[in-house]
Amino acid sequence: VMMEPVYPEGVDDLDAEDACDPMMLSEYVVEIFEYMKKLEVECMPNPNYMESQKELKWSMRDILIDWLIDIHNKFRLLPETLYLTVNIIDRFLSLRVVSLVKLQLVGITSMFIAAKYEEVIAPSIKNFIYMADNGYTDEEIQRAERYVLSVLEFNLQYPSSMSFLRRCSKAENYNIQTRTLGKYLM
Amino acid sequence: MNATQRLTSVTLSVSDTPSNFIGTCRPVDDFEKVGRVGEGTYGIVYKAIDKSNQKTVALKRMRMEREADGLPLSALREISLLRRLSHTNIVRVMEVCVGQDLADFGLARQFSVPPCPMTPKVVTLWYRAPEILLGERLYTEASDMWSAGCIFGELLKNAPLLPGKVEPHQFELIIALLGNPTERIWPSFRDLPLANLFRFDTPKMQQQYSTIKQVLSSSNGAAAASPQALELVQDLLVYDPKRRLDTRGALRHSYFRREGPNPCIPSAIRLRFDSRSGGGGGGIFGGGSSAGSGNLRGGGAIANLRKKLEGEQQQGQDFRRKIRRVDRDEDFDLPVGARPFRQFDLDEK
Repeated sequence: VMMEPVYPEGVDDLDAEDACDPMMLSEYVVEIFEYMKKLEVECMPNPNYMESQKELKWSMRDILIDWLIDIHNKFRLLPETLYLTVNIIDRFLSLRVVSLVKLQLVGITSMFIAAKYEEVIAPSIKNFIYMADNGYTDEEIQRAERYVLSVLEFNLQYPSSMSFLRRCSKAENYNIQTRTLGKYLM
Repeated sequence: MNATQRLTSVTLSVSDTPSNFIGTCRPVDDFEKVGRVGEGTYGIVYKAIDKSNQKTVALKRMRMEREADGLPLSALREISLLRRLSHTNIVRVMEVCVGQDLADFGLARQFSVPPCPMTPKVVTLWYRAPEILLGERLYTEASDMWSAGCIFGELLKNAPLLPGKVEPHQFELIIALLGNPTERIWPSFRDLPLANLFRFDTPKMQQQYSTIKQVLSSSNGAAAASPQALELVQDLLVYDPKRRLDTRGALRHSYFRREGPNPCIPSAIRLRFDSRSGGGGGGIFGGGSSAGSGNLRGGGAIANLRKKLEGEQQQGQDFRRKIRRVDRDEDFDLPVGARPFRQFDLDEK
């Protein structure tokens, strides 16, 4: 049942100004964010997954993520792609034990999937192979892609912190300092 | 199974890798094709029987044209989206599954607010909104309403409403149906990125009047559309996305309110669904020998990351400025305080 929202005294309707702007989706925005908050909980990896991994340590994850940030930077991808990549890696590692030799494959494949999901134009498999210094073949990445997707049951709908930051930014009238600090922390 | 019953689940198959597509997926041989249901831009849908339990399913065979890049981007997004959707009117995913009913989720993606530019060449040409044809990259839910209008018109006409062959032809058909766009009915459409690719001054692109009434009243085999139905199509096929009917407006439309049969509670037309969960499976990771420390290449990333994020910050600002520049149309009066149908309230309890 649709209800007119009631705001406490001194609180304005954040989306009233967007009623005439279809780009801001003011019609749906409240529902979208309620849904995203629910999704966020569903997309959380197990914070202790490293305890179940036989060959991996947190420090190896650090190296992997640094390397992926490098690639992300070289491909000039969206921040959302990076956040989704890391989320895919962590959720996958929460569900499967991975050997150290395959860790980089998990990383590159996760970014390959995330780019397809988020980017307007995603880098090709050849680009990723080049970035991995020809460490993996086309076939290996394709098989890894199918495997990661099946383990995650194709759940890629990760609400990235960017969306929440944008919403908060809007609520505080796009204060540039807060926004930049928020991004830095992300 | 009676003809009106919907196919309740869909299984994905990929043509060139029949058995090892995904660890959890059974071979396509487990299903017996009964007939072809339809064909979309991204694949063919079959009606099939699951041999293990005799259930009827829909089987969608995805096209793998650019197999060099693994699973096609459209399939990836479609599967991911369909897995999250749960509604009686949307086909339910069974295994590694994709669906195609009237709705096509081939390029569905989650909205972000404010939206970011999206993949430009989307939507089967016939259902593509004029703003997308003209290169608008910040398209909105209004573009989907255009597609809904095309499909509703297709149901009324019993034939595709705007079966364009290529983009210019598509625009010619739109103009033949609706008349040509003008600055008055669609302000600044000539400023859209691809507007100069279309020659709006040729005779084919100049037509003053809408012919939609004639088109929908004299159709092959279909009954003439009622005035309300016609009005609904017209309200959905509005050039200016800002003036096009939105979902809530459509629900309140006189077609649904004044003309019988009335909308009824969904439970009255409830369909039965069967569910099935996919299991685990063997994989390429896990176990294996640990040979050395791998070939991770690290270094220098943090500084680059900061630079990148600063760049993105700038882009974000530019983007926001850009969308703020979108002309506000004061005449366009969005209905406020939408009241849902009484019938739908019943369903909530």
